[in-house]
Amino acid sequence: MSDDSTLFESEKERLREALSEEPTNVAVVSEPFAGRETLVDTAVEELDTETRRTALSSVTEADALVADDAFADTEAVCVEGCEYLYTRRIDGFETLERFVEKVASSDATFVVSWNSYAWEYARRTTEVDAVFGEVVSLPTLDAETVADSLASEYDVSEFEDDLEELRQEGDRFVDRLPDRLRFGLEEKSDNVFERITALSGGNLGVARAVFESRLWKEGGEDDHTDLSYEDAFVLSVLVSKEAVGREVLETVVSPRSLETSLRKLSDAEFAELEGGDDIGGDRDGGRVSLRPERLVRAVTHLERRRLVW
Amino acid sequence: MVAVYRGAWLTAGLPEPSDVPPVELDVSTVVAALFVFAVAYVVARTASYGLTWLSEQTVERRITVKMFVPITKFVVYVVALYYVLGPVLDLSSTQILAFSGVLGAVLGLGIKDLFANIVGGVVIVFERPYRIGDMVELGDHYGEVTDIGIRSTKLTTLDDDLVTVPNYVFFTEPVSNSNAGEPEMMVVPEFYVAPDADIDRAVSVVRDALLTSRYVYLSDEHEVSVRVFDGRGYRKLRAKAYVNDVRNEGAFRTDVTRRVLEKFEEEGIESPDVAAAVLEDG
Repeated sequence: MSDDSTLFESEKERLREALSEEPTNVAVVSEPFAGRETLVDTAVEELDTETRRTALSSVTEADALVADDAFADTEAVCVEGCEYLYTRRIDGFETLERFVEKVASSDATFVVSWNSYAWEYARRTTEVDAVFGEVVSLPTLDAETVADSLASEYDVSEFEDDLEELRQEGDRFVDRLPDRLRFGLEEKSDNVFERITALSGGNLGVARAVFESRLWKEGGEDDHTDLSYEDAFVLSVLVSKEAVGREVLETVVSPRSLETSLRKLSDAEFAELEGGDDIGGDRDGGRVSLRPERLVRAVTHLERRRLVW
Repeated sequence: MVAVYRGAWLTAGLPEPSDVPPVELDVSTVVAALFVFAVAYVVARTASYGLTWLSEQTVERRITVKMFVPITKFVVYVVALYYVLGPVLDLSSTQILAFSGVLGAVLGLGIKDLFANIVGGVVIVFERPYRIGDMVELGDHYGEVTDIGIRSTKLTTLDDDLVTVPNYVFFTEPVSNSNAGEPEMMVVPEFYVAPDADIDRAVSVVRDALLTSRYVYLSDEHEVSVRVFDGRGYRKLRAKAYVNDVRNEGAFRTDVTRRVLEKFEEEGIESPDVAAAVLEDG
């Protein structure tokens, strides 16, 4: 069982400060799979009051949450999965705009968590950041932290030497470099944990997936992906939602067909139907999810095409 | 009495022909000069191909990298010319002076347009009114600059026509550059609705169509806006937004227009009566 409770101490401290004495609304923002829930757990502990906690997992749930007068008579509200508050289509911001209004007019303290790509998009379209006094972003992790976390969850005895090497090195010069340069260097390393850190972008959720799929053996992440612009756009929606109903994707890509894009994203190992079913199998429903181990490659591809900013 | 002949200014200050030692031109010198220019051509083409390939790897730095294509070509050809006039032909300073005088006369007599194009090309390379990859209006043509040569600039229009515009056009006509070296550019679609249409709803639809387009580029400096103009017999909605890549301009415009019109029809937001609007507008 994973234990992220010891990570992100300085971010937790910022969160505690924001919620103590005169509490302010806080947005917790991170890359997909990076562990936002850890900070929301901290917020719930810190609020020390009757807290309503909701984890959204679909657009329908988000609509229902905002339509319902769910925040009345509550002193504190924690909402996870805020990326489901909008859909990228005409009239797709109504739910988010009503949510922002409620946050602005409520006496309750709100702690919300957002996928960073969805957050960047939402704050540029609806100025959602105006109602959150504090924005806490989760940082990338260094190789030693990633290695220690993996060692606490998996059997890493075959990589004991690599683990020991990182622990003995202690404070490393490479960790003070900008992320892009650091990961570029670590990707070439012989140390398995450094390569996993590079392939995961210092993101623990992705690192777990990379470790489980032993992806570091494949080598570098050169982008030879042959995706059309439409396929890449569907991927950008997936990156910002992490998992989404097929019907939502259909409204976003309409009038183009979704099936070809999903097939190509599946073949390129970017996406899968939740539950591991064949992506072309259930055409009437199901949820499509982003494969965590491919997040870095997906984001690199989208940045090159300017589909994420 | 001193006889003054027409065009004497062209040769003023130049050495007398009898003072200029002849240039020794044999087959090997000509072959060497041709070889130098052939090598320069291959180097320029290879560098151009390599830089173009590199630039296409990312939208963000495409135009910045492509900026070096004409500069590289210019440097390569100048070096080649220097090498031919120097080590290959081994011209003395008197011969170079005489050569420049002959060149001046030739330009005056017939190839001044070509010279203007070359000077235009040099100015374009260094002053950079536009770069390869920019969307520009040159003369009567609008499109993406795909090459800046010594003599001309090539544009690919939105209809995929390749247009070659002489470089001297830069001196004689205004040049409109839509993105000035940036990968994004502003696109301004316009929509017309009937005077009694629900204008707030129409603005909301247009705004959402821009914000949710797959081609939009949003940042703190690149915002979306929709302005309303009240005409006689119609209302005009002028939208402004940035497309993420200049190459997606047409697709962005089409995507937004198609979805706006679809929504207007779905919600009964009517277009103006064109005939009435024209009559009222006089």
